[in-house]
This record gives sequence, structure tokens and C-alpha cells, in this order.
Amino acid sequence: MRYGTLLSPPPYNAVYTAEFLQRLESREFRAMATVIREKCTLILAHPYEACRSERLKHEWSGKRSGHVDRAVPLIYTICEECRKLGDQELNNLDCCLAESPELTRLTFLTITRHYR
Amino acid sequence: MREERTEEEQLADEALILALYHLVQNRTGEGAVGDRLKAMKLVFLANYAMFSERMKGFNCTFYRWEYGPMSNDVYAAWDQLKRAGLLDEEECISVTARGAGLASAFIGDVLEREENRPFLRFLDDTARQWGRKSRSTILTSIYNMEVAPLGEFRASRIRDMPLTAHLTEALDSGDANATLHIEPGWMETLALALNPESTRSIERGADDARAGRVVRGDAVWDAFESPAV
Repeated sequence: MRYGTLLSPPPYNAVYTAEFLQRLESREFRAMATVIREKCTLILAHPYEACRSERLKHEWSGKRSGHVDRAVPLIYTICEECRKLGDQELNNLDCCLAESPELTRLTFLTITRHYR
Repeated sequence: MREERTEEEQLADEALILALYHLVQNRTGEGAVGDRLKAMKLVFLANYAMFSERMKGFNCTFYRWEYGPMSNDVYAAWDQLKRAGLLDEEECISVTARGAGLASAFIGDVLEREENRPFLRFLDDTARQWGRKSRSTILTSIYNMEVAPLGEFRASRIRDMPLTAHLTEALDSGDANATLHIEPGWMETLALALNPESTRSIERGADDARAGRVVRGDAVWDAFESPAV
């Protein structure tokens, strides 16, 4: 079952955390800003499939990664998926407590890097 | 002979080492696996058991060295697991509470899947058979093991082998009877969990979203637009 065919149609609405913006402005990622923006746009259009999107496990259940390149993932949550799969307790974001959630909200938590 | 491991193989090794040590600590009821020598030999026993059945779980290269089989891959895995706060080492190597949580989830989600159960059995057998034994008992048993070094047909006792004789290597999937299957979401989780900076950054991002420290929409990109030339 593909979520994309069942759930809200794109585009989703982007929300960026302070951590995401700080990382984006850092020396490590600033030079990649254009390609990171392109990947964010792709993810906003197809959040369940784009950029080799994967649901993370264990302590990060409820969050997803999508890749800028092989070693640089973007970590994000999709409000509608969080509600549908009951991940609010795991994610525990500001939107998780809302009575009328904005299901098309997509929160980019951070840009990071694999360990090697 | 292939000694270089892919990133996926390194992640699988690190996850299996953590799972093995977690099972050893659970089996023995002790708060530690043992000293470096014992911790190294336990990985060898599990790795060799898989390798001799051509089961592609561990991918470490072990060779005969002064105190029996050793592997630079295991040293590298220890360093990485310690940096990530999953293993601790003072006099002995032990799994931290965070490491135990990750190992337990990895065992439940990955190793207990039907196709991966044989790999879990190798780890569990090693933990059960050797976990409580002293390092000298383990070392004596290993020295007396009869093994054919890579590239040779005739087995000899590890004790009698020349230094640097290779005992295991990374198998290619095509040469293996079975391959450990780790789904991409778990591979991704391991790659992030083994980088302490990633772990902290994800936590900070979640804290920001919890506290409402967020910005909406595309305006965030304005500062990064290249000026017209």
C-alpha cells in the first residue's frame, strides 16, 4: 500500500526547525544549500518516496530520513503519517497535541551526516 | 581475498557485535562482557561459526596473531560503538543502557525475523556456550581449534599456524548460503545512531519543534539565493 495514493495530495507545507536552519548556515552545509533546497522541494511533493525516504526505527520511530546525497540525510516528520500511525507520543512535537492538526505539515528537523 | 568492507557490511558488523555483547551480558547476568581479549575472542567464535557455514552475517577479517585470532575490524567497531555511547570500556568492555536499548530493538526487529533467525542462533549459541567462561579457557579452546586458513585445504590447529594466517574474510552475497537481511530503514537508523553528532542534532531538532522554535515556508531560502552574475 502506497501512502501517497491514499493520503493528502501534495504539496505539503514546510516547517523548518531552528536546528535545521543553524545546520544549513553552517560551514559544513552552506555550500550545499541549493541542492538541499531542491531535495526539500522533492520531499514536499512526494514525502513517502522521494530521496530514498525511509522510516527510522527504535528511538527515532515516527521520523523519516531522505537523502541529499549518500552520506547526508534530511530528518523530517509528516504530520498525517504521525497521526495515522499513532506516533504522536514518540515524536511529541508541538503539533502532536493539536486538536485539529494541519495534516499537510512536514517538519524538517535537521540535516545531518552518516558516521563515515 | 577481500579485506575491505562496504559501509553496509561495517554497519552490520557493528550491530552484530553490539547484539552479541548484549546477549552475553543477559546470559551471564553480569554488567560487562569481559576484557579486550575475551571480547575479541567472543566475536571470533560467532564470526567463525557463521563463516564456516558460509553464512554472511559478520564480515570481519580475522587472522592469527600473538594471542590467537584478532581483527582490526573489531577494534574499529569498538572505537565507533564507544564514540556513539553504545559501549563503555574501563577495565572491561560493557554495553551501555543506550546500547542495550538499541541492541534489544535490533534483535527484536531484525534478528528475530524468520530469515535472520539462523544468525541470531549463532550469536545466542556463542553467548550461551562461552559467555561465562574465563578468557584463558576460551583462549585454550580456540588455540586447539582445527581450522583451514584461507587459501588452504588442510586444517591445522590455530596454535600451530604462522602469524598473519587469515581465518575469515567478508563473503560476497553470491558465495554465501544465506545473507543477513537488514531493511533500509534499520540501515539508516544504524548509520545515524553510530554518529554521536547526528544523534544530538536530531534531538535538538525535535526539541526545537516541541518548543515551537520553527519557521514556516520558503522564506528561509532567501538568504541562500545566489546573487545574479
